[in-house]
Amino acid sequence: MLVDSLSSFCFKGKIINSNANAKHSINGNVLQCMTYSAEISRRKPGLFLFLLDQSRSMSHKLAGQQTSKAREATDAINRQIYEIIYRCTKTEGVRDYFEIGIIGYGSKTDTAESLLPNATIVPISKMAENPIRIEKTTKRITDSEGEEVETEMEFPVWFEPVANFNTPMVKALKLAKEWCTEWLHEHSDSYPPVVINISDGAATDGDPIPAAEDLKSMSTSDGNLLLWNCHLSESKQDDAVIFPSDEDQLPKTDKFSRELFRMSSLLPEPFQDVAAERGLEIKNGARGYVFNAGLDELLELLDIGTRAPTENLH
Amino acid sequence: MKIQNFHLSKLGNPSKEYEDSLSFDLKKGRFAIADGASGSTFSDIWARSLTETFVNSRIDLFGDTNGIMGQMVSTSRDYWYDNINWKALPWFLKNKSISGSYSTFLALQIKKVTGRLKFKSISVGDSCMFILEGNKIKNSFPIKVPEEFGNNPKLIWSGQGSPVKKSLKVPEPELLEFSGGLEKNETVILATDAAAKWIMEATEYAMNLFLNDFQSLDSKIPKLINEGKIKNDDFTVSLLEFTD
Repeated sequence: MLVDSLSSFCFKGKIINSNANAKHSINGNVLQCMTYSAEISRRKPGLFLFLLDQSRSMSHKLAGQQTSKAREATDAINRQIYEIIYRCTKTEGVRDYFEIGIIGYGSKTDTAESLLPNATIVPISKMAENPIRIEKTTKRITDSEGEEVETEMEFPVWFEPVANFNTPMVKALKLAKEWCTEWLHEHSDSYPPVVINISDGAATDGDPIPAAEDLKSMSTSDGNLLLWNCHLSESKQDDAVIFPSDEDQLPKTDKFSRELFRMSSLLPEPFQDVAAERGLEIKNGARGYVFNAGLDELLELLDIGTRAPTENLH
Repeated sequence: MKIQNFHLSKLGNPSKEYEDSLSFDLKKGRFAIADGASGSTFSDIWARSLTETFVNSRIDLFGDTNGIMGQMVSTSRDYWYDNINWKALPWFLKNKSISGSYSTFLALQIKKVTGRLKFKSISVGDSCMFILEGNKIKNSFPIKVPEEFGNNPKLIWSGQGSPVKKSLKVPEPELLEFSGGLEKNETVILATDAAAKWIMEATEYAMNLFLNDFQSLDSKIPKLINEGKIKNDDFTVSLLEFTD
Protein backbone atom coordinates (compact mmCIF):
# COMPACT_ATOMS: atom_id res chain seq x y z
CA MET A 1 0.00 0.00 0.00
CA LEU A 2 1.07 3.50 -0.75
CA VAL A 3 0.71 4.73 2.82
CA ASP A 4 2.89 1.95 4.23
CA SER A 5 5.69 2.48 1.77
CA LEU A 6 5.97 6.23 2.09
CA SER A 7 8.51 6.67 4.83
CA SER A 8 11.24 4.63 3.21
CA PHE A 9 11.87 7.17 0.48
CA CYS A 10 11.16 10.48 2.10
CA PHE A 11 13.71 12.85 3.51
CA LYS A 12 13.44 15.15 6.44
CA GLY A 13 15.58 18.22 6.99
CA LYS A 14 18.12 18.95 9.67
CA ILE A 15 18.83 21.96 11.82
CA ILE A 16 21.56 24.25 10.62
CA ASN A 17 22.58 27.27 12.67
CA SER A 18 21.97 30.52 10.90
CA ASN A 19 24.34 33.41 10.66
CA ALA A 20 22.27 35.49 8.28
CA ASN A 21 22.08 38.46 10.62
CA ALA A 22 25.06 40.18 9.07
CA LYS A 23 25.47 43.94 9.17
CA HIS A 24 27.17 45.88 6.42
CA SER A 25 29.82 48.34 7.46
CA ILE A 26 32.18 50.82 5.91
CA ASN A 27 35.17 51.95 7.98
CA GLY A 28 33.56 50.43 11.01
CA ASN A 29 30.32 52.42 10.72
CA VAL A 30 27.15 50.40 10.48
CA LEU A 31 25.12 51.54 7.50
CA GLN A 32 21.68 52.78 8.45
CA CYS A 33 19.24 52.04 5.64
CA MET A 34 15.80 53.54 6.33
CA THR A 35 14.06 51.40 3.79
CA TYR A 36 11.34 49.46 5.62
CA SER A 37 12.80 46.40 3.95
CA ALA A 38 14.15 44.43 6.93
CA GLU A 39 13.22 40.78 6.81
CA ILE A 40 10.61 39.77 9.33
CA SER A 41 11.41 36.39 10.79
CA ARG A 42 11.12 34.61 14.09
CA ARG A 43 14.59 35.91 14.98
CA LYS A 44 13.60 39.44 13.97
CA PRO A 45 9.85 39.80 14.52
CA GLY A 46 7.82 42.89 13.73
CA LEU A 47 5.61 44.73 16.21
CA PHE A 48 2.03 45.94 15.78
CA LEU A 49 0.75 48.14 18.55
CA PHE A 50 -2.90 49.16 18.54
CA LEU A 51 -4.16 52.16 20.55
CA LEU A 52 -7.90 52.05 21.07
CA ASP A 53 -10.05 54.97 22.21
CA GLN A 54 -12.55 53.69 24.80
CA SER A 55 -14.06 57.07 25.65
CA ARG A 56 -17.79 57.65 26.14
CA SER A 57 -18.39 59.02 22.64
CA MET A 58 -17.30 55.69 21.17
CA SER A 59 -20.73 54.40 22.21
CA HIS A 60 -22.27 56.51 19.40
CA LYS A 61 -23.03 54.86 16.10
CA LEU A 62 -20.45 54.86 13.33
CA ALA A 63 -21.60 56.71 10.20
CA GLY A 64 -23.84 54.47 8.12
CA GLN A 65 -23.76 51.59 10.63
CA GLN A 66 -26.25 50.25 13.13
CA THR A 67 -23.59 49.49 15.70
CA SER A 68 -21.42 51.68 17.90
CA LYS A 69 -17.98 52.98 17.00
CA ALA A 70 -16.62 50.96 19.94
CA ARG A 71 -18.16 47.76 18.52
CA GLU A 72 -16.90 48.40 14.99
CA ALA A 73 -13.42 49.35 16.20
CA THR A 74 -13.02 46.27 18.43
CA ASP A 75 -14.45 44.01 15.69
CA ALA A 76 -11.96 45.50 13.23
CA ILE A 77 -9.04 44.93 15.59
CA ASN A 78 -10.21 41.38 16.35
CA ARG A 79 -10.46 40.75 12.61
CA GLN A 80 -7.02 42.23 11.95
CA ILE A 81 -5.39 40.09 14.61
CA TYR A 82 -7.13 37.09 13.03
CA GLU A 83 -5.66 38.08 9.63
CA ILE A 84 -2.15 38.41 11.07
CA ILE A 85 -2.47 34.99 12.73
CA TYR A 86 -3.78 33.52 9.45
CA ARG A 87 -0.74 34.83 7.57
CA CYS A 88 1.58 33.39 10.24
CA THR A 89 -0.13 29.98 10.38
CA LYS A 90 1.97 27.13 9.01
CA THR A 91 1.65 23.37 9.30
CA GLU A 92 3.19 23.15 12.75
CA GLY A 93 1.26 26.11 14.18
CA VAL A 94 1.54 29.88 14.36
CA ARG A 95 5.04 31.22 13.75
CA ASP A 96 6.03 34.23 15.80
CA TYR A 97 6.78 36.62 12.97
CA PHE A 98 5.00 39.39 14.88
CA GLU A 99 4.42 40.63 18.39
CA ILE A 100 1.27 42.45 19.38
CA GLY A 101 0.29 45.00 21.99
CA ILE A 102 -3.04 46.75 22.63
CA ILE A 103 -3.44 49.89 24.70
CA GLY A 104 -6.95 50.98 25.59
CA TYR A 105 -7.53 54.54 26.79
CA GLY A 106 -10.62 56.03 28.41
CA SER A 107 -12.24 52.93 29.92
CA LYS A 108 -11.29 54.43 33.30
CA THR A 109 -10.83 58.13 34.03
CA ASP A 110 -7.53 59.42 32.67
CA THR A 111 -6.16 55.94 32.26
CA ALA A 112 -4.31 54.18 29.45
CA GLU A 113 -3.50 50.51 29.99
CA SER A 114 -2.82 47.20 28.32
CA LEU A 115 -5.96 45.35 27.26
CA LEU A 116 -4.13 42.04 27.50
CA PRO A 117 -4.45 40.45 30.93
CA ASN A 118 -1.13 40.52 32.80
CA ALA A 119 0.85 41.32 29.67
CA THR A 120 2.01 44.20 27.48
CA ILE A 121 3.55 42.94 24.24
CA VAL A 122 3.08 39.26 23.38
CA PRO A 123 4.13 36.98 20.50
CA ILE A 124 1.35 36.44 17.95
CA SER A 125 1.15 32.71 18.83
CA LYS A 126 0.12 33.65 22.36
CA MET A 127 -2.75 35.65 20.91
CA ALA A 128 -3.76 32.59 18.87
CA GLU A 129 -3.78 30.46 22.00
CA ASN A 130 -5.65 32.88 24.23
CA PRO A 131 -8.80 34.42 22.79
CA ILE A 132 -11.41 35.25 25.41
CA ARG A 133 -13.93 33.23 23.41
CA ILE A 134 -14.46 31.66 20.01
CA GLU A 135 -17.51 32.40 17.90
CA LYS A 136 -18.64 29.61 15.62
CA THR A 137 -20.15 30.59 12.31
CA THR A 138 -21.60 28.33 9.65
CA LYS A 139 -20.26 29.27 6.26
CA ARG A 140 -21.03 27.84 2.85
CA ILE A 141 -18.01 27.26 0.63
CA THR A 142 -18.04 26.13 -2.98
CA ASP A 143 -15.77 23.19 -3.72
CA SER A 144 -13.85 22.80 -6.96
CA GLU A 145 -16.70 20.73 -8.45
CA GLY A 146 -19.04 23.66 -7.85
CA GLU A 147 -20.89 21.97 -4.99
CA GLU A 148 -21.74 24.01 -1.90
CA VAL A 149 -20.49 22.59 1.38
CA GLU A 150 -21.48 23.83 4.80
CA THR A 151 -18.59 24.31 7.15
CA GLU A 152 -18.21 25.59 10.66
CA MET A 153 -15.61 28.34 10.89
CA GLU A 154 -14.25 29.47 14.22
CA PHE A 155 -13.55 33.15 14.79
CA PRO A 156 -11.77 34.13 17.97
CA VAL A 157 -12.57 37.26 19.97
CA TRP A 158 -9.91 38.97 22.03
CA PHE A 159 -11.57 42.27 22.89
CA GLU A 160 -15.07 43.43 23.72
CA PRO A 161 -16.28 46.99 23.05
CA VAL A 162 -15.95 49.47 25.90
CA ALA A 163 -17.01 53.16 25.91
CA ASN A 164 -16.75 54.84 29.29
CA PHE A 165 -14.95 58.06 30.18
CA ASN A 166 -12.70 60.74 28.63
CA THR A 167 -9.95 60.52 25.97
CA PRO A 168 -6.48 60.32 27.58
CA MET A 169 -4.70 59.94 24.22
CA VAL A 170 -1.48 61.60 25.45
CA LYS A 171 -1.22 58.98 28.19
CA ALA A 172 -1.72 56.26 25.59
CA LEU A 173 1.01 57.68 23.34
CA LYS A 174 3.39 57.95 26.30
CA LEU A 175 2.66 54.38 27.35
CA ALA A 176 3.26 53.26 23.75
CA LYS A 177 6.63 55.00 23.86
CA GLU A 178 7.50 53.23 27.10
CA TRP A 179 6.67 49.82 25.61
CA CYS A 180 8.42 50.58 22.31
CA THR A 181 11.58 51.76 24.10
CA GLU A 182 11.84 48.40 25.79
CA TRP A 183 11.00 46.51 22.59
CA LEU A 184 13.52 48.46 20.50
CA HIS A 185 16.23 47.70 23.02
CA GLU A 186 15.87 44.02 22.05
CA HIS A 187 15.06 44.56 18.36
CA SER A 188 17.32 47.34 17.09
CA ASP A 189 17.65 45.80 13.60
CA SER A 190 14.04 44.71 13.17
CA TYR A 191 11.33 46.14 10.99
CA PRO A 192 10.19 49.30 12.85
CA PRO A 193 7.09 49.11 15.06
CA VAL A 194 3.76 50.02 13.44
CA VAL A 195 1.48 51.86 15.88
CA ILE A 196 -2.17 52.28 14.85
CA ASN A 197 -4.34 54.66 16.85
CA ILE A 198 -8.12 54.42 16.47
CA SER A 199 -10.06 57.35 17.90
CA ASP A 200 -13.14 59.47 17.30
CA GLY A 201 -11.91 62.74 18.70
CA ALA A 202 -9.56 64.97 20.55
CA ALA A 203 -7.31 64.18 23.47
CA THR A 204 -8.64 65.39 26.81
CA ASP A 205 -5.29 65.21 28.59
CA GLY A 206 -3.22 67.77 26.69
CA ASP A 207 -1.57 68.31 23.33
CA PRO A 208 -0.91 64.90 21.75
CA ILE A 209 1.47 66.23 19.06
CA PRO A 210 4.67 66.35 21.19
CA ALA A 211 3.94 62.82 22.49
CA ALA A 212 3.34 61.64 18.91
CA GLU A 213 6.57 63.29 17.71
CA ASP A 214 8.46 61.60 20.54
CA LEU A 215 7.04 58.25 19.49
CA LYS A 216 7.79 58.79 15.79
CA SER A 217 11.38 59.78 16.54
CA MET A 218 12.11 56.23 17.71
CA SER A 219 13.70 53.96 15.14
CA THR A 220 15.43 50.73 14.25
CA SER A 221 18.23 50.49 11.68
CA ASP A 222 15.49 49.90 9.11
CA GLY A 223 13.45 53.06 9.67
CA ASN A 224 11.44 55.19 12.06
CA LEU A 225 8.50 53.93 14.03
CA LEU A 226 5.28 54.43 12.09
CA LEU A 227 2.28 56.08 13.75
CA TRP A 228 -1.03 55.86 11.91
CA ASN A 229 -4.28 57.43 12.96
CA CYS A 230 -7.79 56.40 12.11
CA HIS A 231 -10.32 59.12 12.85
CA LEU A 232 -13.76 57.49 13.18
CA SER A 233 -16.83 59.41 12.13
CA GLU A 234 -20.47 59.76 13.09
CA SER A 235 -21.11 62.11 10.19
CA LYS A 236 -22.37 60.96 6.83
CA GLN A 237 -22.08 64.47 5.39
CA ASP A 238 -18.37 64.49 4.60
CA ASP A 239 -16.60 61.86 2.55
CA ALA A 240 -13.73 60.01 4.12
CA VAL A 241 -10.26 61.31 3.26
CA ILE A 242 -7.80 58.46 2.98
CA PHE A 243 -4.04 59.00 3.26
CA PRO A 244 -4.13 62.78 2.63
CA SER A 245 -0.91 64.52 1.64
CA ASP A 246 -1.97 68.06 2.55
CA GLU A 247 -3.96 69.68 5.36
CA ASP A 248 -5.97 71.48 2.67
CA GLN A 249 -7.64 68.15 1.93
CA LEU A 250 -9.17 68.27 5.43
CA PRO A 251 -12.21 70.38 6.41
CA LYS A 252 -11.05 73.80 7.61
CA THR A 253 -13.43 73.73 10.55
CA ASP A 254 -12.16 70.47 12.02
CA LYS A 255 -9.25 71.29 14.30
CA PHE A 256 -8.86 67.72 15.53
CA SER A 257 -8.38 66.31 12.06
CA ARG A 258 -5.39 68.63 11.55
CA GLU A 259 -3.98 67.52 14.87
CA LEU A 260 -4.28 63.83 13.97
CA PHE A 261 -2.93 64.50 10.46
CA ARG A 262 0.19 66.17 11.91
CA MET A 263 0.63 63.32 14.37
CA SER A 264 0.67 60.75 11.55
CA SER A 265 3.78 59.38 9.84
CA LEU A 266 4.53 59.81 6.17
CA LEU A 267 3.63 56.68 4.25
CA PRO A 268 6.83 54.80 3.34
CA GLU A 269 7.09 53.40 -0.16
CA PRO A 270 6.16 49.76 0.59
CA PHE A 271 2.89 50.96 2.16
CA GLN A 272 2.26 53.29 -0.78
CA ASP A 273 2.67 50.30 -3.09
CA VAL A 274 0.10 48.24 -1.14
CA ALA A 275 -2.30 51.20 -1.11
CA ALA A 276 -1.83 51.74 -4.85
CA GLU A 277 -2.56 48.04 -5.47
CA ARG A 278 -5.93 48.67 -3.81
CA GLY A 279 -6.65 51.42 -6.33
CA LEU A 280 -5.99 54.29 -3.90
CA GLU A 281 -4.40 57.40 -5.34
CA ILE A 282 -1.38 58.18 -3.20
CA LYS A 283 0.42 61.49 -3.59
CA ASN A 284 3.88 62.49 -2.40
CA GLY A 285 3.70 63.43 1.25
CA ALA A 286 0.73 61.12 1.95
CA ARG A 287 0.33 60.35 5.64
CA GLY A 288 -0.95 57.29 7.48
CA TYR A 289 -4.18 59.01 8.40
CA VAL A 290 -7.83 58.51 7.54
CA PHE A 291 -10.27 61.31 8.30
CA ASN A 292 -13.97 60.68 8.81
CA ALA A 293 -13.48 56.94 8.50
CA GLY A 294 -16.41 54.62 8.19
CA LEU A 295 -16.09 50.87 8.61
CA ASP A 296 -14.65 50.33 5.11
CA GLU A 297 -11.96 52.94 5.59
CA LEU A 298 -11.10 51.61 9.05
CA LEU A 299 -10.67 48.08 7.68
CA GLU A 300 -8.69 49.41 4.71
CA LEU A 301 -6.32 51.34 6.96
CA LEU A 302 -5.78 48.39 9.27
CA ASP A 303 -5.25 46.01 6.39
CA ILE A 304 -2.76 48.22 4.55
CA GLY A 305 -0.99 48.99 7.84
CA THR A 306 -0.45 45.32 8.58
CA ARG A 307 -0.13 44.00 4.99
CA ALA A 308 3.05 45.78 3.88
CA PRO A 309 5.22 44.35 6.69
CA THR A 310 3.92 40.82 6.02
CA GLU A 311 5.37 41.10 2.50
CA ASN A 312 8.76 40.90 4.28
CA LEU A 313 8.09 37.56 5.99
CA HIS A 314 10.97 35.13 5.73
CA MET B 1 22.59 3.73 -11.79
CA LYS B 2 23.99 5.51 -8.74
CA ILE B 3 22.21 8.19 -6.75
CA GLN B 4 23.47 10.73 -4.19
CA ASN B 5 21.09 13.07 -2.41
CA PHE B 6 21.46 16.16 -0.29
CA HIS B 7 18.86 18.24 1.47
CA LEU B 8 18.84 21.08 3.94
CA SER B 9 16.06 22.97 5.71
CA LYS B 10 15.97 26.74 5.28
CA LEU B 11 18.66 28.07 7.63
CA GLY B 12 17.18 29.02 10.97
CA ASN B 13 14.19 26.71 10.58
CA PRO B 14 13.90 23.44 12.51
CA SER B 15 14.05 20.29 10.38
CA LYS B 16 10.35 19.55 10.90
CA GLU B 17 9.59 22.63 8.78
CA TYR B 18 11.34 21.21 5.70
CA GLU B 19 8.72 21.19 2.92
CA ASP B 20 10.57 19.72 -0.09
CA SER B 21 10.25 16.05 -0.92
CA LEU B 22 12.39 13.70 -2.98
CA SER B 23 11.36 10.12 -3.69
CA PHE B 24 12.94 7.51 -5.93
CA ASP B 25 13.08 3.86 -6.83
CA LEU B 26 16.32 3.02 -8.61
CA LYS B 27 15.15 -0.40 -9.78
CA LYS B 28 12.08 1.05 -11.42
CA GLY B 29 13.95 4.10 -12.71
CA ARG B 30 11.41 6.44 -11.14
CA PHE B 31 12.27 9.75 -9.49
CA ALA B 32 10.23 12.71 -8.27
CA ILE B 33 10.97 15.99 -6.54
CA ALA B 34 8.54 18.57 -5.15
CA ASP B 35 8.64 21.85 -3.25
CA GLY B 36 5.69 22.46 -0.93
CA ALA B 37 4.55 26.09 -0.91
CA SER B 38 5.18 27.69 2.48
CA GLY B 39 2.20 30.02 2.14
CA SER B 40 -0.21 27.11 2.57
CA THR B 41 -0.50 24.61 5.41
CA PHE B 42 0.36 20.90 5.18
CA SER B 43 2.41 21.54 2.03
CA ASP B 44 5.07 19.13 3.27
CA ILE B 45 2.51 16.32 3.33
CA TRP B 46 1.23 17.36 -0.09
CA ALA B 47 4.74 17.47 -1.64
CA ARG B 48 5.45 14.02 -0.18
CA SER B 49 2.11 12.69 -1.41
CA LEU B 50 2.92 13.74 -4.96
CA THR B 51 6.45 12.33 -5.08
CA GLU B 52 5.51 9.05 -3.38
CA THR B 53 2.43 8.61 -5.51
CA PHE B 54 4.47 8.87 -8.68
CA VAL B 55 7.30 6.61 -7.55
CA ASN B 56 4.94 3.91 -6.28
CA SER B 57 2.50 4.09 -9.16
CA ARG B 58 2.53 2.35 -12.50
CA ILE B 59 2.00 5.58 -14.38
CA ASP B 60 4.07 5.27 -17.54
CA LEU B 61 5.37 8.64 -18.72
CA PHE B 62 6.45 7.02 -21.99
CA GLY B 63 2.84 6.21 -22.77
CA ASP B 64 -0.04 8.60 -23.39
CA THR B 65 0.33 11.45 -20.86
CA ASN B 66 -3.25 12.60 -21.34
CA GLY B 67 -4.99 12.50 -17.97
CA ILE B 68 -1.81 11.52 -16.11
CA MET B 69 -1.92 14.52 -13.78
CA GLY B 70 -5.59 13.95 -12.98
CA GLN B 71 -4.75 10.41 -11.89
CA MET B 72 -1.69 11.57 -9.95
CA VAL B 73 -3.52 14.33 -8.12
CA SER B 74 -6.46 12.10 -7.25
CA THR B 75 -4.25 9.41 -5.63
CA SER B 76 -2.07 12.01 -3.95
CA ARG B 77 -5.13 13.78 -2.56
CA ASP B 78 -6.27 10.56 -0.86
CA TYR B 79 -2.93 10.20 0.87
CA TRP B 80 -2.77 13.89 1.83
CA TYR B 81 -6.34 13.88 3.14
CA ASP B 82 -5.81 10.71 5.22
CA ASN B 83 -2.64 12.04 6.80
CA ILE B 84 -4.19 15.11 8.37
CA ASN B 85 -6.13 14.73 11.59
CA TRP B 86 -8.78 17.24 10.56
CA LYS B 87 -10.87 16.89 13.71
CA ALA B 88 -8.00 17.69 16.07
CA LEU B 89 -6.87 20.93 14.42
CA PRO B 90 -6.84 24.15 16.47
CA TRP B 91 -9.02 26.97 15.09
CA PHE B 92 -6.25 28.74 13.18
CA LEU B 93 -5.13 25.59 11.33
CA LYS B 94 -8.71 24.45 10.73
CA ASN B 95 -9.69 27.74 9.12
CA LYS B 96 -6.61 27.93 6.90
CA SER B 97 -6.30 24.28 5.89
CA ILE B 98 -9.75 24.30 4.24
CA SER B 99 -8.00 26.16 1.41
CA GLY B 100 -5.78 23.15 0.68
CA SER B 101 -2.08 22.80 -0.01
CA TYR B 102 0.18 23.65 -2.94
CA SER B 103 3.41 22.28 -4.34
CA THR B 104 5.61 22.23 -7.42
CA PHE B 105 6.34 18.81 -8.92
CA LEU B 106 8.77 17.18 -11.30
CA ALA B 107 8.76 13.49 -12.17
CA LEU B 108 11.37 11.57 -14.14
CA GLN B 109 11.23 8.08 -15.58
CA ILE B 110 14.29 6.38 -17.08
CA LYS B 111 14.34 3.09 -18.96
CA LYS B 112 16.47 1.12 -21.34
CA VAL B 113 15.08 0.88 -24.84
CA THR B 114 17.03 -1.33 -27.27
CA GLY B 115 20.19 -0.98 -25.20
CA ARG B 116 20.00 2.83 -24.82
CA LEU B 117 18.83 4.89 -21.88
CA LYS B 118 15.76 6.99 -22.55
CA PHE B 119 14.12 9.48 -20.22
CA LYS B 120 10.79 11.24 -19.97
CA SER B 121 10.03 14.00 -17.50
CA ILE B 122 6.92 15.99 -16.59
CA SER B 123 6.78 19.20 -14.58
CA VAL B 124 4.54 21.75 -12.92
CA GLY B 125 6.40 24.76 -11.47
CA ASP B 126 10.07 25.50 -10.97
CA SER B 127 11.59 22.30 -9.61
CA CYS B 128 14.25 21.44 -12.20
CA MET B 129 16.08 18.68 -13.99
CA PHE B 130 19.55 19.17 -15.48
CA ILE B 131 21.39 16.93 -17.92
CA LEU B 132 25.16 17.27 -17.62
CA GLU B 133 27.71 16.32 -20.22
CA GLY B 134 30.95 16.09 -18.26
CA ASN B 135 30.83 19.16 -16.05
CA LYS B 136 28.77 21.28 -18.47
CA ILE B 137 25.00 21.72 -18.46
CA LYS B 138 23.72 20.20 -21.69
CA ASN B 139 20.07 20.93 -20.98
CA SER B 140 17.71 22.01 -18.22
CA PHE B 141 13.97 21.57 -17.77
CA PRO B 142 11.58 23.37 -17.34
CA ILE B 143 13.62 26.50 -16.45
CA LYS B 144 16.34 27.54 -18.87
CA VAL B 145 17.84 30.70 -17.29
CA PRO B 146 18.02 31.94 -13.65
CA GLU B 147 15.92 35.02 -14.46
CA GLU B 148 12.91 32.73 -14.97
CA PHE B 149 12.78 31.94 -11.25
CA GLY B 150 10.23 34.13 -9.49
CA ASN B 151 8.02 34.15 -6.43
CA ASN B 152 4.96 32.72 -8.15
CA PRO B 153 5.76 29.41 -9.83
CA LYS B 154 2.95 27.21 -11.11
CA LEU B 155 1.74 24.87 -8.38
CA ILE B 156 -0.34 21.75 -8.03
CA TRP B 157 -3.31 22.20 -5.72
CA SER B 158 -4.50 19.46 -3.38
CA GLY B 159 -8.10 20.66 -3.54
CA GLN B 160 -9.92 21.87 -0.46
CA GLY B 161 -9.52 20.21 2.91
CA SER B 162 -12.16 18.83 5.26
CA PRO B 163 -15.14 19.23 5.47
CA VAL B 164 -15.03 19.14 1.65
CA LYS B 165 -15.19 15.47 0.69
CA LYS B 166 -12.05 13.44 0.11
CA SER B 167 -13.33 12.19 -3.25
CA LEU B 168 -13.38 15.72 -4.67
CA LYS B 169 -12.30 15.96 -8.29
CA VAL B 170 -9.50 18.54 -8.37
CA PRO B 171 -8.83 20.50 -11.58
CA GLU B 172 -6.00 18.90 -13.54
CA PRO B 173 -2.90 21.12 -13.69
CA GLU B 174 -1.20 21.80 -17.00
CA LEU B 175 2.12 20.06 -17.30
CA LEU B 176 5.24 20.47 -19.38
CA GLU B 177 7.03 17.47 -20.89
CA PHE B 178 10.64 16.77 -21.77
CA SER B 179 12.18 13.63 -23.20
CA GLY B 180 15.32 12.29 -24.84
CA GLY B 181 18.21 9.88 -24.53
CA LEU B 182 21.01 9.66 -22.00
CA GLU B 183 24.62 8.72 -22.70
CA LYS B 184 26.82 6.89 -20.23
CA ASN B 185 29.04 9.91 -19.57
CA GLU B 186 26.01 12.02 -18.77
CA THR B 187 24.64 12.86 -15.34
CA VAL B 188 21.21 14.03 -14.24
CA ILE B 189 20.53 16.46 -11.40
CA LEU B 190 17.12 17.07 -9.86
CA ALA B 191 16.82 20.22 -7.79
CA THR B 192 14.26 22.44 -6.08
CA ASP B 193 14.31 26.13 -6.96
CA ALA B 194 17.01 27.58 -4.66
CA ALA B 195 19.45 24.83 -5.65
CA ALA B 196 18.49 24.98 -9.33
CA LYS B 197 18.96 28.74 -9.56
CA TRP B 198 22.37 28.51 -7.94
CA ILE B 199 23.39 25.68 -10.31
CA MET B 200 22.58 27.98 -13.24
CA GLU B 201 24.38 30.97 -11.73
CA ALA B 202 27.52 29.23 -10.51
CA THR B 203 27.68 26.25 -12.84
CA GLU B 204 31.40 25.58 -12.78
CA TYR B 205 31.73 25.73 -9.00
CA ALA B 206 28.49 23.81 -8.44
CA MET B 207 29.45 21.07 -10.89
CA ASN B 208 32.84 20.69 -9.28
CA LEU B 209 31.17 20.22 -5.89
CA PHE B 210 28.51 17.82 -7.13
CA LEU B 211 30.76 15.67 -9.28
CA ASN B 212 33.95 15.64 -7.21
CA ASP B 213 33.10 16.54 -3.63
CA PHE B 214 29.45 15.71 -2.98
CA GLN B 215 30.12 14.93 0.68
CA SER B 216 31.23 18.52 1.26
CA LEU B 217 27.77 19.94 0.46
CA ASP B 218 26.85 19.50 4.11
CA SER B 219 29.37 22.16 5.15
CA LYS B 220 29.59 24.25 1.97
CA ILE B 221 25.92 24.91 1.17
CA PRO B 222 25.13 26.61 4.55
CA LYS B 223 28.23 28.75 4.06
CA LEU B 224 27.13 29.78 0.56
CA ILE B 225 23.66 30.62 1.87
CA ASN B 226 25.14 32.74 4.64
CA GLU B 227 27.26 34.55 2.05
CA GLY B 228 24.09 35.36 0.10
CA LYS B 229 25.16 33.29 -2.92
CA ILE B 230 22.24 30.89 -2.53
CA LYS B 231 18.71 31.93 -1.54
CA ASN B 232 17.91 30.87 2.02
CA ASP B 233 15.22 28.29 1.34
CA ASP B 234 14.78 24.55 1.66
CA PHE B 235 17.51 23.07 -0.54
CA THR B 236 17.26 19.67 -2.22
CA VAL B 237 19.41 18.07 -4.91
CA SER B 238 19.72 14.57 -6.29
CA LEU B 239 22.61 13.44 -8.50
CA LEU B 240 22.07 10.47 -10.82
CA GLU B 241 25.01 8.80 -12.47
CA PHE B 242 24.76 6.00 -14.99
CA THR B 243 26.99 2.98 -14.86
CA ASP B 244 26.80 -0.37 -16.66
